[in-house]
Amino acid sequence: MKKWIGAFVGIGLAASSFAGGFQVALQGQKQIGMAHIGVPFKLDAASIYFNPGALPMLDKKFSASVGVSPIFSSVAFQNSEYNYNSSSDNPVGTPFSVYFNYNIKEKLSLGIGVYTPFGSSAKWDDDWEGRYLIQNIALKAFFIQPTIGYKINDNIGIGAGFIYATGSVAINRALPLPVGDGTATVGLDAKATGMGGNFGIYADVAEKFHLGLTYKTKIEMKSKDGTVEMKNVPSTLASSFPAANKFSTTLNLPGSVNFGVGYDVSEKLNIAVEFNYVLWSAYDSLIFDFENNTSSLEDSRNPRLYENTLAFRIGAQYELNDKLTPRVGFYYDPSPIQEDYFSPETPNMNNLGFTAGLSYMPSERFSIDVSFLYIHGLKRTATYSPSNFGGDYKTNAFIPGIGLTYQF
Amino acid sequence: MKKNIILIIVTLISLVACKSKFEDLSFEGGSADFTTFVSVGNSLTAGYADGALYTSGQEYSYPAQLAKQFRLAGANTVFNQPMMNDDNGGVTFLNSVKIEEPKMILGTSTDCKGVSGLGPIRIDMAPTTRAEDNIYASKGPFHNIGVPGSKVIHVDAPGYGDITNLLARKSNPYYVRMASASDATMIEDAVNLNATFFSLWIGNNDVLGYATTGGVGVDPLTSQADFTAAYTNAITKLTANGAKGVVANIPNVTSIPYFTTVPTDPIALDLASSLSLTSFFNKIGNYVDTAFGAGKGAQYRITYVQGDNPFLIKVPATSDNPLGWRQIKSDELVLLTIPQDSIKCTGYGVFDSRQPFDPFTITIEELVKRVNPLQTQHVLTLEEIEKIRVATDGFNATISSLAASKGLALADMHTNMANIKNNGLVFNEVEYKTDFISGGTFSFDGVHPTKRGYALITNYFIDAINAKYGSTVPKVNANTLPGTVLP
Repeated sequence: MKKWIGAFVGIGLAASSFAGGFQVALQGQKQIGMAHIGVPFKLDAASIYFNPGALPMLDKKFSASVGVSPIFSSVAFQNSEYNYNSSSDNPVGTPFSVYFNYNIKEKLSLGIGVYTPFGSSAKWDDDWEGRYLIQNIALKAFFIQPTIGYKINDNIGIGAGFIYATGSVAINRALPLPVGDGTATVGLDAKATGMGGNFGIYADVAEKFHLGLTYKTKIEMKSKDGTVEMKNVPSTLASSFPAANKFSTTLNLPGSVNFGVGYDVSEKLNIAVEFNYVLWSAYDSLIFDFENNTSSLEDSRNPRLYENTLAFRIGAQYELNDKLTPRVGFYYDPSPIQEDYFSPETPNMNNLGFTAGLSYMPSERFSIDVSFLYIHGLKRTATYSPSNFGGDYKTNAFIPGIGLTYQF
Repeated sequence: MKKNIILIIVTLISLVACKSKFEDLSFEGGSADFTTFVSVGNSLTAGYADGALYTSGQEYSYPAQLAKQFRLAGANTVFNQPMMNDDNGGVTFLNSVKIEEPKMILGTSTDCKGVSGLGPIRIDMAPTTRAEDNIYASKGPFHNIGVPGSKVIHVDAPGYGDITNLLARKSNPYYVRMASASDATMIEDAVNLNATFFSLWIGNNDVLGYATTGGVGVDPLTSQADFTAAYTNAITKLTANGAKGVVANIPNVTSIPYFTTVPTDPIALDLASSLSLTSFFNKIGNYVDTAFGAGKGAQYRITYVQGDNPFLIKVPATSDNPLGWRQIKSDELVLLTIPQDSIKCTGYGVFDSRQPFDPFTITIEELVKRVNPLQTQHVLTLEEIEKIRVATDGFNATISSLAASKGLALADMHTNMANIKNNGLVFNEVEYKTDFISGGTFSFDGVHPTKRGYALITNYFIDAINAKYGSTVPKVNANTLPGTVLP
């Protein structure tokens, strides 16, 4: 007869995103310096990421390149209707890249790269206004990409890389209960793997023009044994929210089509533009399939409804002398997130990127490459309508980077 | 050269300290002046919850929350409430006789079958608040003139705060302890503050009193004429000094868990019981055909099924329904206070099973006598629900027209609460519903909101105020308030 009393139903557990707009465009120090343009360039082994077709065209037999770009980012949030003021204190993320390429034959190159093209970390205060959507998130994805390149003739190279992706995500959020003292939380932890490809063609045209076209496939990151940890759930509700649970999910990292044109104004001055059409619509929704369902904990389907984006980049480098090459660039990278589906877990703005870089070559074989990227996220007024949570968001990021290139 | 590079890097890293930031917000009162704010109403204004008025509930009363938000909008709002003596609630009078119960909490009780379960129970604490102790002189004047139990016809009725009327229950212990004088009225005490802004949410008890007593008539609906006269008088006096304000209308009883929690068909039967009950009621039908005229028995030949079956309810006996009971209709309402043990152990709502009997030899008179319909005070029939709806709509029409003619903001609680009932309210991912206890909106008494529920109500008031007066008073983050306490 008490059936109408303790029936706690419908407290669905919405979940959080993996890749959400957080493509990390930090895959080569030289390229970062010129707006992260790499498709129409054959600068070093970083072409493993940017354009495998450029690898057999490198004028050095061996090229190795490593780099790291610590990200210092923050998000500010405000809502004047409710007097909300918060900001996320994002732990420093450290995307890195390591590439080797070896032209084993005149026409054939082999290479391998390890890089981190997706990732995000954000730490909001545990009691901030959007805590039921996200308290903190840390996600990492490593791509390992063995790559083969073939030089069709002196002007055209093609290349293909196989991508093995491995990643992890950890998300904590407050459990959205309308009752209780508000301290219940849920932690989601998962490792995921996936596979994909990176294909490119590179061409030197009419002496001064360089063209590149690449296609990166979508990668389905599959996770089977994610853990769910519930804390501080009132004992009355313990049967509805089992303390330990498992989940499985599939997260789609988007593919992209990239096209770039480089032009040599002079022997020393190169300028380039690049377009990236990122196929974000692969990220339609995030589905969490819990091993142990209850009436309050049903499998959750969280709409993300990302839209494809077209980013534009322009950059230049100037060879000052045989030791110094400075670089500059600018890009516009629009957000894939719709106004009504904007979640603070991965707040992504229409971003303006301002870049600068410098290579210093103490010897012919060795180069120290530094870069600096400032990302200004244009202020956005947006809501995650399934949670009825929104406001104004602003972001910025300062990303210094340093790398070494060794080639002969 | 290397030094220069290092220098550049250091400079860049130092830039990192520049975090993205917004300018500080500021809020405006618009054309309203919240300096002196007074709030008149009933239990909903007082901050009553869990079947009692107690201090932590008062702290989150909707007017206290409003005053806090007004202060964010730059007003120097002082808001003094007639605090109870303790956080348990309840009131005593004369030799410590308890005349108002302390609050309910979620606790374990054991039912007639010996099964323990979690449910609202009264806290086992003696009230320390005494009706005799008028606190006006020591703690007044009060800005929260919310008096639990008051109807619109009470707010300007002299004697409602007179302790000498309390024994006969002609006055109200909550007003008795806070009234400025024994012959004062709630409206007079409010007017004496010379407020710049007021809120008035009254009239709920003018329908609720009737509804929570099952429409039996001990607490009749206020007549439309009395309501209009009393409401007009209250509004006229509150606005006499030019004060601006906000009024709220009356939600439908069907939005409140007190009336929507107990299902109409909770009689769970196994196959054997359902078959024997069906045969009993078939016999009763045959008997009625014989005794009262052919065709009249059909209504009593109820087929019981294995599983859930509807209650029987008592209705006036007529020549068409000579036995005076029928099955409840699915859109009729059973009150939350229905004695659950009687349902579980005495066959209340179907058939009195307490005395054993031989189903083969029992007389038809004995069978008829054992039919055990719900008493009328535990049910609202469709006719009663319709009366309540007509009264509520009529009162709300009065409130709307007076709000319009006096240029006051109107918080449409009738629509707002119906929306929560029908659709739920998702607030920063947390979904509030009107389900009893689990919905988070209503407290253990099933009528009054929780602290978070009062925050949602505060926000509806703020929406109405901002829309009317062009102010930008910020709303309350309901999720930050203490939620229903669960073990």
